[in-house]
Amino acid sequence: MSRNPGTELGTKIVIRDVDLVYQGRNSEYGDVIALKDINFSVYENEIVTVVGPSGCGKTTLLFLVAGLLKPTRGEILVDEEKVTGPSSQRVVVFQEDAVFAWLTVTGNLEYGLKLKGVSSSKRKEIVSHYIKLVGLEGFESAYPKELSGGMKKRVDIARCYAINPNVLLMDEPFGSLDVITKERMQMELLRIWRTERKTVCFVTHDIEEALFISQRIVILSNRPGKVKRIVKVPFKEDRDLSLKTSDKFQDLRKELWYEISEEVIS
Amino acid sequence: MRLDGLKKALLRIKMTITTKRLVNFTIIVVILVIWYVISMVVEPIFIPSPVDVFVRTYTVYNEILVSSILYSLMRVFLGFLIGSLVGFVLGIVISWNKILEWLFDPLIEIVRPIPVIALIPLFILWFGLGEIGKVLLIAFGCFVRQVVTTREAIKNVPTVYLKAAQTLGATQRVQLFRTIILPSITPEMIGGLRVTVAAAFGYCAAAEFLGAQSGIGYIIIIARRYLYTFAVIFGIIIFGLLAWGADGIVRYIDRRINVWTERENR
Amino acid sequence: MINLKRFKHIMSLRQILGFSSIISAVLLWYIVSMFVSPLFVPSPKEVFFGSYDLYKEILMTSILYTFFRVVTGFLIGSALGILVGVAMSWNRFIQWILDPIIELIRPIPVIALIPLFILWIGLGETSRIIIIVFASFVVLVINTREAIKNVPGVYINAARTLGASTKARIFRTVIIPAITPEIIVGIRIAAAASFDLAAAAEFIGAQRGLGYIIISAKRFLYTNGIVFGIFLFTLLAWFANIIIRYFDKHVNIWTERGKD
Repeated sequence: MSRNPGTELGTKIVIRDVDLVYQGRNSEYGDVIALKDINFSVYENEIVTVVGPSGCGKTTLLFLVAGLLKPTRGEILVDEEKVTGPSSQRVVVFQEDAVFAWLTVTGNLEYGLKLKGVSSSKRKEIVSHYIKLVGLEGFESAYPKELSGGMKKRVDIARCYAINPNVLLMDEPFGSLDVITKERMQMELLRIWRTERKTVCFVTHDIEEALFISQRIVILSNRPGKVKRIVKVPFKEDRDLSLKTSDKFQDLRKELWYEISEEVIS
Repeated sequence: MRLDGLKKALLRIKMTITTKRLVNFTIIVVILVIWYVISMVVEPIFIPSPVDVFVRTYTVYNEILVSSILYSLMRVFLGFLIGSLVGFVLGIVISWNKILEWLFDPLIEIVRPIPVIALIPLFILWFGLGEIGKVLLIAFGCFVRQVVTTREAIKNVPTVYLKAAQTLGATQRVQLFRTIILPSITPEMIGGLRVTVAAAFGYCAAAEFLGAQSGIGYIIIIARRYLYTFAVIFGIIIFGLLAWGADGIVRYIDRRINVWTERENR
Repeated sequence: MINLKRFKHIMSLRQILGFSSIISAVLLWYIVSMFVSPLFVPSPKEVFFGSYDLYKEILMTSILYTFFRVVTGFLIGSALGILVGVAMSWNRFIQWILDPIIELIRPIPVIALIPLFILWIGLGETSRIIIIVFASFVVLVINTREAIKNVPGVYINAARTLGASTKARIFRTVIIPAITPEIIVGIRIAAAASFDLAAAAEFIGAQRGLGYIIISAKRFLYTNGIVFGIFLFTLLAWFANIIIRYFDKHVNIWTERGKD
């Protein structure tokens, strides 16, 4: 287990020799190779973003780590244990609205806890802690229909944090939000992450978002998705939105943009 | 839809509140008045006067009136309850996994187009003119509808909900069913129930026309033989009122249970 | 999951399961019929071959009669229903008058109206067809109105900014095409109801048709005939469904079918 240079923390996720092949339905369509030879690691408590053109397989990769899909070849290890199926240890925040509409905010946060058998008093504690953490005090009994898009995403994140997962996986979670809310949520995510550290694997096609929130970026090529390059993001952890207008940020962004757009054309 | 549409729009907004009730009430009064006037001009066989419909029916049939209503109501209620419950359970069974779905789907598709009314003579042959035959017929009709509705509703559960639940720790099928599928299908199910209830009254009427010695349908059929149009119309109005009342009850349950759904125009 | 890749060319697992369940149902019927009196459960063989022998002269005409009643009533009623539905959305005054009337009629089970129609029009063909016309009409008026209400306002605005200036043009080019999927659903419902009503109407007083076969069979306690008649009715309903589905696919090529 290698160490994240500069820290004392080891690897959390190891993706080793992973392929994903979709079997063709008839002999006419043949097989579709979604991902090939994926090899990289995610260190504990870092935020890694996977970027790439649309259809390159980044969501597929995330689902593989989550256990919602099985690799055709290779394996994925979390904490040195092989991933065989979905589990609350590898929770996912999806792009679509996955907050359960029939439960209140509290009900949603309690969902995973109830499944684990956590006692009612402990649940109350945990729920109120995380409602505070994501800044939704006062909305404990609100139904999702009364909340805005950004608030619902916060409920989703709180719900995931509440069950104390090993790894937090996020699939373009802010994709459906407007620009201002999106940026606020990026700040929120960083703030929450700085308060309670977790290993995060984030998928997005938004380069700025990737540069802003992560420590390392994995660039995926077009289908079949291969790891093109892993970039270490040079910014300090303490970031705010003004970073986005800095020269260094913009230079990196252009660099990444070129790299990804070659994938799109090819 | 045009410039003076603005004025009309304001009028409509006003009308949608309690004014609508007043308008409805006035319309009913107007219709009654028109009815009365017409009935004085036309033969009572075709258009009996409203007075006849209510008063004379009571005088002619008053011993069996209340019991008839109760008989019909009981049949509809029992048939609907049994049929919907069994249909609901079977709907869940078919949706449990692919094998069961593939096994039972063709059978359902064969039974589905059977006109339930066409079964009445068969049921009379099997069960005679008694209660059981009628209740079973209504139950059968409700059963078929309910299986289809349940199956559709379960199919329409957004997949992201199921995925999210799995990553929150609901890995067993039973958990998914209990905590996700059942709550999320309730709005669609209630909608289907309204249709089934209305159909149940139809089946009851037909069953009572063809083979009964009690019930509102029985009164209607007997009255027709005596050319008592007023009683026929009375029976029809009673059926309408009962169906309307039942629908109101279901709508009330809908509002209470489905607090969380986003209402559009209801 | 069992992987019968070898058999994929012959039959998929889905088809195997489907066929086997149907075949087992028929077998079950056969077995039950051997133990129970033929009055209650006649054997499948008797039902089909025996009835065919008995009814073969009037079979074609009966089917045609019933089908004719259903189709005429249903087509007229649906067409009228759609027209009135559109008219109600077009003109506020018409809507204002017809709305309460329709709301009043809506909860009444149409079957309950059959004796009334018989009183008014007699026991002939007309009353049977009129009942079906009426039922299809009510279903489609309500359906059309709902469908028009649900046309996304953005479509209408887009059309207007693209140059559709008159109400007629908007209706013709936007609203009518947009509501076709929902109308087809209404047509399905009306068709199913029409078969139900045709059966009821034929039971109460017809001299020809499938309902007549069923009712006269019942009079003679000829269960074979009853089941045979039900079978034919179902066949007709299923056939009508196929036709509707064909139209559905052709007219609604553009709709997105929801998955899963």
